[in-house]
Amino acid sequence: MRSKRNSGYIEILKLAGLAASSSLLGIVILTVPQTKGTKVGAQKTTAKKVAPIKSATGDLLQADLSPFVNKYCASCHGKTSQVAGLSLTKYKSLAEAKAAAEIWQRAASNVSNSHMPPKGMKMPTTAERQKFVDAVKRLVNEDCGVTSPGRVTLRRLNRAEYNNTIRDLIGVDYRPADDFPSDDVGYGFDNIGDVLSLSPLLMEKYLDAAEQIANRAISTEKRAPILVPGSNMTGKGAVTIDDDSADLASFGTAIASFNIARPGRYSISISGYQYKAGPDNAKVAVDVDGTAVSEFTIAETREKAGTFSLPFKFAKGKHTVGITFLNDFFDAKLPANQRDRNVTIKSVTLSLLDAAPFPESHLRLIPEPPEPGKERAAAEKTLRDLSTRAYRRPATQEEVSALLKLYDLTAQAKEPYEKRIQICLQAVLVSPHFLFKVETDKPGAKGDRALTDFELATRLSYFLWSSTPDSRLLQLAGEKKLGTPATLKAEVLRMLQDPKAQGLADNFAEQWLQLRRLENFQPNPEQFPGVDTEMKHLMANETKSFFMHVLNQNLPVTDFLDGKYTYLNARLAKHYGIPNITGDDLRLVNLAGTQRGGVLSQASILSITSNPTRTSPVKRGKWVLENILGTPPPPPPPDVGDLGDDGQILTSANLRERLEQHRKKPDCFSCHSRMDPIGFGMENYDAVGRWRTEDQNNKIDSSGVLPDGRKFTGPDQLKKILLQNKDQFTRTLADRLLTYATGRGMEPKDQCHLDEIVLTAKNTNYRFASMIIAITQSDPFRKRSANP
Amino acid sequence: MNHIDRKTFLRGVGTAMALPVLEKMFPMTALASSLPAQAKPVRMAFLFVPNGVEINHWTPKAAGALSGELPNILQPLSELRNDFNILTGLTQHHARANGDGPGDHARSTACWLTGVQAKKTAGSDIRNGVSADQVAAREIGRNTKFASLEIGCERGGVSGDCDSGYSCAYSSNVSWRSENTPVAKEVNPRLVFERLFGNGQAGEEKEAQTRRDLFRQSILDLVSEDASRLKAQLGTRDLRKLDEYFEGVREIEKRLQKFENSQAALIAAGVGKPNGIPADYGEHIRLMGDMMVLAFQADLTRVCTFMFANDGSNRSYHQIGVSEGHHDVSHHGRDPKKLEKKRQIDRFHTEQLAYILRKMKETKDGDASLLDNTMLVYGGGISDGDRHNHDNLPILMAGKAGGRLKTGQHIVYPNETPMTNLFLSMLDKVGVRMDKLGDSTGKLQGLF
Repeated sequence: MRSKRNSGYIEILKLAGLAASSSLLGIVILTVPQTKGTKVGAQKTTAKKVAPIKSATGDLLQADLSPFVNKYCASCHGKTSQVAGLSLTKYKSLAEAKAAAEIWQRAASNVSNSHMPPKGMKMPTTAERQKFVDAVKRLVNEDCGVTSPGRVTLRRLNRAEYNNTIRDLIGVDYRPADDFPSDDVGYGFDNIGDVLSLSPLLMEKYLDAAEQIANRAISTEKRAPILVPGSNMTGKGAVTIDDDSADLASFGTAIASFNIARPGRYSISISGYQYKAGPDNAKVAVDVDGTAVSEFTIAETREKAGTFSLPFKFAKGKHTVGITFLNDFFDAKLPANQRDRNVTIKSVTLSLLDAAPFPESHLRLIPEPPEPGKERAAAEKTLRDLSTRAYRRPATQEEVSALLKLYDLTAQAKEPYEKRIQICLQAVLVSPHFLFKVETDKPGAKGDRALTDFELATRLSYFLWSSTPDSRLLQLAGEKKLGTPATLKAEVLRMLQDPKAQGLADNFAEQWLQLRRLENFQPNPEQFPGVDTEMKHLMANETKSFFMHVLNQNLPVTDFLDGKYTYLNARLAKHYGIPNITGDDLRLVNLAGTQRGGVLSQASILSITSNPTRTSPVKRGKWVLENILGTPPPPPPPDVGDLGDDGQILTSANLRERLEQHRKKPDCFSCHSRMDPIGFGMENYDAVGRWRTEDQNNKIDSSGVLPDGRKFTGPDQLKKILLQNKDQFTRTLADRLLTYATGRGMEPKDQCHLDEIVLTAKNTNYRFASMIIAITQSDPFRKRSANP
Repeated sequence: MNHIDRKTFLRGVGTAMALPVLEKMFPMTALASSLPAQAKPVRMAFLFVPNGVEINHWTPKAAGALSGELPNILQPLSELRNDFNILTGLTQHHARANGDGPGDHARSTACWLTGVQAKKTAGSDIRNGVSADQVAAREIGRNTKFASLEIGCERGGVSGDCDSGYSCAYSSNVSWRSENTPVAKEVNPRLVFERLFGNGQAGEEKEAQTRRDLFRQSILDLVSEDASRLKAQLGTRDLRKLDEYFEGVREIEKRLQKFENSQAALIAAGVGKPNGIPADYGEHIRLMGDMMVLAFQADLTRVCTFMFANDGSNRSYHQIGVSEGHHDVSHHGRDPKKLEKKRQIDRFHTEQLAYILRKMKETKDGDASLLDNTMLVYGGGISDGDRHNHDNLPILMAGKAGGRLKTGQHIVYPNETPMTNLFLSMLDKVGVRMDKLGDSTGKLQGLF
């Protein structure tokens, strides 16, 4: 088991090496570890040892956990005192303790980060801390080699995914999901299967959207030429209406009637011939609705009819086109076949001249109008293709037959072909196979299985693009090639270079960094004029562009914290006080020599962690603990009171004072001693992210002391401290990425998988694209467990 | 099973295709759904406001008739004082921690109409109870095109858990269809209007509409079969999701069978379609209120929940000069300046309520006014926004329930009287007999 896992790592490392020469890479340059051998060796030594869960001195709970708990935790989290509602002494058996794995894990995290026990209590030694943390690891995981990949609950498309899918699948520029109800959010993301619900209201919206999409995608406009044969004309004067023509013997008018549904310029084509007699050819006049518009001569004879065309602009409604014979000739002295000049009109045809070309979405489904009699065969092909792309796997015969039945129904209702396809498209768009990312199990299946290539294609495309797989992914899946690590990796790199990878910024980055909170952020307009909707958009887009830069350039993920570059336009640069940036478009700006670098200095993050009237060091500290360090503080106990913003706007200085008072309360200390100093380090940025050195004539104090005694002053030193433990940040990011990629919350057992991803990241110098590859190669992403 | 039978029947119709046949059926359907001439139905509405109220300016000094000067927050409703009651002493016990720790905003919202302790989770396995409005909707909703209407002014949460480890589903929904399914609300007045009155297809000819409905029915048949086949290959949790799908399909099918209410079309023609979400919050609330009134007036639904905002909302009220966020202000810590701001916000809300109640009072409904034929509950699941207590809740009940409800009173119940007792009584008045809802202990006395 162990050696198999190691070979997995080697495989990943090899792949990282391979990619450097891949032509798909574009500007991506993967840094390959220089000394692969030693890295792998090093990894071997760091591999977790699997200790038995029962030891000679009793089980894990009795031998390793309880002694530590009794000595260091029980006075607050025991039987009598249960601070924060937490008791660690209530577990009577190992099984009970295992069932509460998450609680133990949180405890271990707090012990390992020295957040617990709090200052002033009895302190464990480093070795004791380590022993406790290891014991919890064993409690939770037992053996990483057999850890389940987990199971993702049936996920429906969320709003962003629905819009993108419609864009890519159907090709209409229409965002129906903007009107859908909000998606439910769980574990920080809005793509979590367990959490996303499908209300009747949403089902109603799906059905309406399907109809709207079908109407936009397929044009039902009548474009076929309108033909009136001579036999359907009426005559005025010497006109005989025959079975297949209108014959003008002497002076008379053949009249063709039309109903124009779509107004516009048409070509009037008149087809006919003459019976030649006398010196001249036959001459006719053309009128529309009785008004003469043109005259022409007919030289052609019965052997080969001629056609005369002229353009005319028709209004909507009923119209007539009249053809009047102008120069009758009869000379009885001439031979029978030369004595009588007559005109025969075979047909009048109106063809639309300025019809807009069919939209691309139309041509995707109806490349050309099917030949009469072959409609059903054409429909079958169209519906098979469509449902295959829509369901992200080959449509079954049963499914195609059901759609064809619907087609037949519409055909019997005498709907035109285009309308029939519209109705079938609607059915496809409300099918559960379209609305849900379906992964099925055979009835009674047990254990784990690798995803099918099609399921994998779907996971990949919704992870990296927030959209449906493209034809290449589906093709590779059809060839069963996608699952091989080399292809999977090459495809991930290809997909990251696609503009659709913006989906990662729009959905992953926005939610990981909580940028969507900007929408509801309303700073006091008197204090912060000019922070309007556009400015808030710019703020969010700066961070998203920055995120995409790290991704596209495959830079180390640590750049998220200290990359000395960003994306600004003139307005945002002015907000920051950075000179010489012009124009409306965001562009890459070097931040060397400025007080900025990384997301913690970006206006977006600084604003969403502020109050409408002032900064909030607490919110900023909490944000960093949650999203950067992955150690969210527990919520505050009720009735703790607040800082007493007594209506006056607090300055940075008296805010710090108040917080220091607040921290003195024992209930508040353990969390605020973690949050506040981090927030203090960011005090040089005001509530909308502008740099400041003083606040209402008081100099800003941006110094802080972390619970473990590390001191810093200002954002740069704070960032250095945060980056001292790169793995901790990387792990937070890995946790967020894997949650988003799989659409389920991380469970205690996922720690093994996250360990692996962090290790891969470390071995590839924390390069972002490499980390994303590691996510897609991980078991939770590529496999599923049949066990609920 | 009824469903299958009807489906089979319709499929029969489908394969024979037969638009003419359907046209023949058409008048019958129309006939069947036309309203019988009888007393106007009683409507139920629940209007929710977040973050508690400044209770000192809410509760009238004494029990009994609402006379003299009303408390400050109720003053916008002065002229309507004979149309509502103030109920004091009602409590939502299961909005309290009861061992679950912090998270009062989310918990009390989830509990407001259910009386059930919501399961503390930020992710999977959300579990609450069925809310009073949905209990009513199941019964009296059968008679209208929409079983119930859910509206609000704020979308669901945008990121993370919404309150101390509680899912955003809890803090943004008061209406719960089942233990696991909150009923999503609509926040855009234009979309509410389109939903109620159709999507600009007012001029659609009857025949085209019949055809459209027939095709829709066939589409739903097809996808239901897809879903049924899928069932066999899914696990328990997956099936829960698929059940939501089936339920949605059934809901639409039900509606397809009810012919367009001509009265509704008439009413819709008389009012313009709103453009979207107004920038001004007050206007937004009033416009959504208009939509509720329209829906009741046209008898498109008889049950409505309306959340002025989600609980914990930190919106600022620039329009009345309160630039701090509502949630920040609600944690007043007894600071007089903050208490004053909180009072202003609460009064802003009752001003909007006054608009809605006036509108209902001006709307004729049979021989009475729409307000007379309604039971409207206004309030929240937190009493004092700073203490986060859930007893002594601020509750106003307007309308006369078709003449059955005495109004113009301040009724003081012993504190800790379950709020669910009120719902039980209300449900009883619309003919829904229940022994228990959430933590109810019986019907509320002295009201009807």
